[in-house]
Amino acid sequence: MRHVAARLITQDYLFYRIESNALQAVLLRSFSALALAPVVLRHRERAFLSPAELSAITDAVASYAGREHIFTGYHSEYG
Amino acid sequence: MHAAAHTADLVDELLLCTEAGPAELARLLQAVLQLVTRPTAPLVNAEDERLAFAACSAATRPELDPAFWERWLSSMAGSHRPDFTRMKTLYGAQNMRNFMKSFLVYAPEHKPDYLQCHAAASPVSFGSAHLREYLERRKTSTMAMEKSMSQRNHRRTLTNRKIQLARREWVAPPPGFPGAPDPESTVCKNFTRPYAFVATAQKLIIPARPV
Repeated sequence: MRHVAARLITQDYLFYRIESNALQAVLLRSFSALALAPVVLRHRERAFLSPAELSAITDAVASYAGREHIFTGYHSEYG
Repeated sequence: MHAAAHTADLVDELLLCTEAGPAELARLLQAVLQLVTRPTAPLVNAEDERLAFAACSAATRPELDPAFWERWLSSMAGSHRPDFTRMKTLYGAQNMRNFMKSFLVYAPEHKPDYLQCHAAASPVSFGSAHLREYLERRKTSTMAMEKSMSQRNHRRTLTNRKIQLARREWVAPPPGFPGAPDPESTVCKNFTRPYAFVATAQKLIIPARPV
């Protein structure tokens, strides 16, 4: 789980082609954020992340919220 | 897809982490603020509710005092200036209003009265601060305009009254004298009433004058 959390906040997932409007890129970024939520939930139930790791996730989310520019909602094909 | 909603879920979980201090909570709430106001299209998939739910989770944290919430709500109100000529800015303002409505709905479940009071007192609860400012300006200008119109009407009334009095006081010279109206002139034909008035005045006044 720690490995998953660390991977999800990298340029390959949460910030994947952050300037791109491409559907696949937006999907990967958005669902990386969604996948991180249960990781943090699991941490709240039984702590396994270090304060530094948690701080890194917080920083990543704050940065992502300021950089994401595609906020479309439901997609007929991908949900 | 659903970037705002998915991020809201993550922010919600992070806000509930006991390890997060006031600085982290403030940063996460700033992220909520950005997710509300940055989209350049309306959020129509209940993103506002999920973002509001996250903000309400923060309201359960004792680290954030009423002063913080007041500042945060004020910054939210002042963070977005809708330009009524640009639709994108209006979307942001509308998203913010929807968020505040959802926030007001969820807040009582989570927290204290002061939060609801601050939210309810926030200008964004009833429309953006700038819309309120615009309405205030409009109200002020309307009052000024009404006052101006009232003064203008008053002046107009006075002028009309003076004209009426002047007409009543004016006595045309008798026929044959300089300035006397000529019954055959175009003026007298087109303005029969003044001429009739003058004729009446002449009947009343002229006989009393010494010739």
